[in-house]
Amino acid sequence: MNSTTELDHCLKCSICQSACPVITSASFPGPKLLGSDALRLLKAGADAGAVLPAVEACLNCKRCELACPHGVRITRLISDVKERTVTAKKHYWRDLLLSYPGFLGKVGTIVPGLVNFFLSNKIGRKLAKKVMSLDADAVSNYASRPLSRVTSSLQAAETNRKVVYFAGCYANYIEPEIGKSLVELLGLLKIGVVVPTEHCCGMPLLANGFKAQAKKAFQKNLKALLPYLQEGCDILCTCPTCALALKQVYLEELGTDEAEVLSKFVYDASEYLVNYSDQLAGLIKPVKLHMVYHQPCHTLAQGVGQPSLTLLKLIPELKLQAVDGCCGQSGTYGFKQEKKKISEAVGKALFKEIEQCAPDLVSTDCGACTMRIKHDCHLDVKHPLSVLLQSIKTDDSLPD
Amino acid sequence: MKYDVVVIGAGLAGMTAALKSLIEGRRVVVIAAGENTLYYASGSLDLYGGKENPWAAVKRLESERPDHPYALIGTALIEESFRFLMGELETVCPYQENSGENVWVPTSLGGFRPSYLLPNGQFPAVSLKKKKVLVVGFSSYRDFNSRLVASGMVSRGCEARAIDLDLHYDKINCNSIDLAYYFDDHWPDLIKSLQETAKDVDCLAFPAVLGLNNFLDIHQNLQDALGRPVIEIPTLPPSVPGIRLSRAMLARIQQQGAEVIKGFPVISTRVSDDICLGVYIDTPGHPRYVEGDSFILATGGILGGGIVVSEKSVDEKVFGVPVEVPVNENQEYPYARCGLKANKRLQPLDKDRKVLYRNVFCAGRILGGYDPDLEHDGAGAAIATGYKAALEAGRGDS
Amino acid sequence: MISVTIKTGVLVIGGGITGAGILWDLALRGIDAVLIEQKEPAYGATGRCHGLLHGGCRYLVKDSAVAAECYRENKILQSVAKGAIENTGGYFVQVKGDDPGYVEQWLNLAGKTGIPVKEIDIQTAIKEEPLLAVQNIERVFTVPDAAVDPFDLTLMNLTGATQRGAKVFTNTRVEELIITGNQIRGAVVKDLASGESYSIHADIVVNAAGAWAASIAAKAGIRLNMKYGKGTLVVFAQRLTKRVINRLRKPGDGDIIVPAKSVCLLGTTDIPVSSPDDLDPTAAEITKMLNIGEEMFDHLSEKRILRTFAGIRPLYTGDNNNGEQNREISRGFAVINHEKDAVDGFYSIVGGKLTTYRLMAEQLVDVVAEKLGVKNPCQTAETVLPQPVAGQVKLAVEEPMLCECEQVTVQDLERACELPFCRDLHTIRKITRLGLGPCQGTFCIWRAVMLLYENQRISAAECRQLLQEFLAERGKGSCFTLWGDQLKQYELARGIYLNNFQLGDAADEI
Repeated sequence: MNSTTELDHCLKCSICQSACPVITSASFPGPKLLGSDALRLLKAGADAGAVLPAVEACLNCKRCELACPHGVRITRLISDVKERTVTAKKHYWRDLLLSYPGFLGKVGTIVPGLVNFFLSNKIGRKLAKKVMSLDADAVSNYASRPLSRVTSSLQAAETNRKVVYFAGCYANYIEPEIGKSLVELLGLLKIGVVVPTEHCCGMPLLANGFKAQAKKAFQKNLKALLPYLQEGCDILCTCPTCALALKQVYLEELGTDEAEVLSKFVYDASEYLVNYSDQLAGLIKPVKLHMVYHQPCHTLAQGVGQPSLTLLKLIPELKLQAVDGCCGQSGTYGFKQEKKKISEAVGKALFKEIEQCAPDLVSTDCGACTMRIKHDCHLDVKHPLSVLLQSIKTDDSLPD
Repeated sequence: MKYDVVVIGAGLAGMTAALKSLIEGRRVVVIAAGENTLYYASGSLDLYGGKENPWAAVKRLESERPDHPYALIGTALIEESFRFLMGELETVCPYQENSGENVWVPTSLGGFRPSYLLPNGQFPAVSLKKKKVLVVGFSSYRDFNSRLVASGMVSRGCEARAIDLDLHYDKINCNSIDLAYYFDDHWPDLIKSLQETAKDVDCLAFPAVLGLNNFLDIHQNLQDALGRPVIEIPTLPPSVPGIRLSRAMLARIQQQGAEVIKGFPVISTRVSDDICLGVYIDTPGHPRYVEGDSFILATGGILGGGIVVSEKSVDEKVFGVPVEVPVNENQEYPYARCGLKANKRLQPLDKDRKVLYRNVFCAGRILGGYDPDLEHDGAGAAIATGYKAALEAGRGDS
Repeated sequence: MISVTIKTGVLVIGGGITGAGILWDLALRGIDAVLIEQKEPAYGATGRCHGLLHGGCRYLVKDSAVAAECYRENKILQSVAKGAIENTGGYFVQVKGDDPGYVEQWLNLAGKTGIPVKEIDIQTAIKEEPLLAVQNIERVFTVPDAAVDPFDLTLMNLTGATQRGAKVFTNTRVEELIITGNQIRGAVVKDLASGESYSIHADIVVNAAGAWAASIAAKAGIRLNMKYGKGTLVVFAQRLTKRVINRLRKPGDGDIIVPAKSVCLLGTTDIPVSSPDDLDPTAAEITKMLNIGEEMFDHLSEKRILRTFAGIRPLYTGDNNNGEQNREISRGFAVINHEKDAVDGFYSIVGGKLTTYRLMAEQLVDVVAEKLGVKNPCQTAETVLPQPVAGQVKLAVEEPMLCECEQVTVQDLERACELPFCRDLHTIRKITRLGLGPCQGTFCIWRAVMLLYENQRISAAECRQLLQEFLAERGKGSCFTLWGDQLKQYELARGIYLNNFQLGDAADEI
């Protein structure tokens, strides 16, 4: 598959622009110019340097694609443009490093004390800012034990069927509680879980323009997941970006039969669990809290509706409000010094809306959104599955 | 998940149908490939007839062009559909009362075009006659020339003059959407810049870019502060008044409890004889199946994507209903009136005029027999057929 | 009423590449000259060809002398007209079923002529050019073809000439030739914009009117034997190949694809027509070409087509007229001194091809210079032409732009308007590529009109008229390929201009 057809579909109507959260930034020419216009001319030999750094400001949120009525996968075109500009990047090495959250995660969880100390330390933060152009204020702490070691003890449960859990870097290294929640919930439903050796889904690489490396990551994961596909196992993701990658992006970028098979077996964890609503409802106890649910862009982009919201609605007495909009974090984008202003401007409206709700707690599926909202709204943020599990396990309100 | 009404397409027709179905108490899902052609239109709602009385012209269609969507609906129901939609939009995107005649609206080419219902902020040209109009442009905005608009007004009996403002906005190549978002925050700058000049004129005309999110407040505040009527003139697309209408309708639909799945087209259907059971949506990974009792097909015409023309054939995309391409009637464009044929219940017909699917009802530009670009009847046809389709969907397949 | 008289040494009739090349050559030799063109520069065959700067390989089998000539000229132009040329290189591709005997003959002649041809393996070729239909390809050779922008090339010659004192009048038609006795004296011409006629007095008149050469000669009572072959071309919305790709067989329909900046062209056909104004492609021609193209390129007919157009190949048949197929008639050219027809000082230049225009100009101007007693030698092979306005494909997101598809900036338009021969939107489009991208002007023609009005180059009434002309012209360009994405694009433009801007009918009153 290549982007020729996508380019052909574009009518230059700028509808995409109306949906772009970055468009209000004066330095951002918009998805049409950076996607379909730029790629068409780059293919004809135009100098790629002209779209830097503008094209790096794309959040890869995919809202433009949902707006386009003509079927143009605009962020895919933008990722092609990013690929063509990658060698001219100003922050090449930093972006490459940030594109390997799996590697960072391993380091972080092996020596969490050290890394967390470094980043929570004023000097460390300053150093990160200076050397890496990183805004370390917003970076989350690494977990003391990665998920893969945590879950292995939970696999022996007697089960009716087996699914694969593709945890992704966030649940693996930063908030293993999400993975544990999923495994426990599935256990209650008598569904066994396998957590295979996995690598980062590769989306950070793609979003930063390192397409060749991204494709390698895609291939690696495909290879690791293929045996389970042959067994007919469904694959569950708690991270919306991982889910979108496995469902759509691998296929778009690789175009192989294996990628197509994979895409058909992948589910967002809530999309999967919503089919067990009746069983879960029987286990859930009331929770007297006021909670805001925020739907991440990449859940929206999967076209699954709002399954997490449906699940959360099962909790009696939980006061739920849903908010809409992009938080501006986009993986590691919000950590980058030069993107800080744009990221903040994007998230502003959402944070205001959340704050106006004045909830006890925020729930969202995405790790990046979680970090951003925690940092900007100073509220506790939990994955919907963690909330769900705790409503099953506790008698009263949610502990921290 | 099974719904009472599955609306395929979220343009003016589909959203009118969804709204009416929701008000009637149905469980509704709206499925759309993306945004709609309102983003290209002027935001005012056309009926028909140009210089003629529109209702008389519509009435005549019943005998002269029985395939015209208006002829299928009938005047009374068309009027009812307009009243319904205006009521729904009253607080979120209000339109002005109309005396039953077409009005002529200024265009940014310096001319006028006929329309029927004008949104808040658009004014009929006749109200500007002999008035002193200040046409305000923005120097960084390529798509609107204040002098051209002013000269058009002068040649038609207004005392118009033009002024261009330098905005403190450093976006290169900004278009109407950029400016509308900009004015959402920076509208008070306009008051500062124009307070003095406004005293010498009767009204001020702007390109239609005065805000997207807070446009009603902005318009009111500007009128109050400048003490003059503030007019918006539709621009080259993307059309801000069109986006406002589209968003207002969508918000209303969601507020009324419809599920909206936007960004993914319907790719196939499950049918049993002449009944549609459900549709498959092309979502990433695995298609999503949606079941329903009734289906409203409002996927648009060629531009909207409901009809696909290839080198060898002309196809309706969802159900494969045959598309009629009427023989060229002195038109420069062979597909001007192409579309589906439907009966008075808006059920799609095959070539022998037999109903193809009893629980499918067509609305909007997917229907053939009219040419909105030339005849200015697109909005009216969308609203009327959307409304009618909802009524029929509610009645079921009996 | 003949009011004004212009005096010059040489009057060149025709603003195609031949006339422009002649004007440039004359100017370099210091000969005073004026060029007139009935429409805009490169209106005729020049602006309606592939834009293929031949490496010569296409003519090897038929006429290896012409092939060698092309190869030499190609190298010269690559050094003097760099701004108009993209050295893409080319492939010659043998497709299953093509005559292997032809291939061997072709290879043999390439060796003899000294044109560098090299076979490469199919896998490499497919990797470089994924559009090639892998299952159909037998052999692939690299050749020294390049892509040339015929508009830029013509405009560079005209600009260079006018910078050296030559004058160019576009939208100006020859009414009659002035002849006293046996001597040509010039021409009476008409400015089609103002409707005014005036005379241009010249010692020499050069008829470089291309497809219209016979009608110019006829004004002197001279019969030129010409044949007209219509060639239709299809323009795709994006660049589908990196290089020129030719079918390696006896030249036929639909067997070349040439990248042209951001788009590419498939061509061409060769249908005998009786008049140089018979410029309409037919649906059958297009379908046939796409089908042949599919033999070499995968899914070619599914690609978005922007427009189609046809050009007329004017072929001089000399004195024999034996009903040969057009493609067989020589692609060479002829300089005709009409002294033999009892008109002294009148010359026609006919035939030829884009790649050899410089050589044609040189040979003609040699004759003219001798007649005028000018000794200065030709300098066009060494003198670098001025840079074009638009030049190579660029991204200009940081500059104020009118056309976003082709990234035509406000400055580009203003620079084009400053050129002395730029009098209309057509010329602006050719100079800048405004409106030549996928949206075909839907958004940028509007912006250009607004800017021209703002700069007081056009009136309010002209704004309307220009937009109407544009819409009509678009309809013409796409009426034979009204399907797919481009049809949607057309509907969008139709909606904007007929519906939103009420451009269609006259009911534009209060």
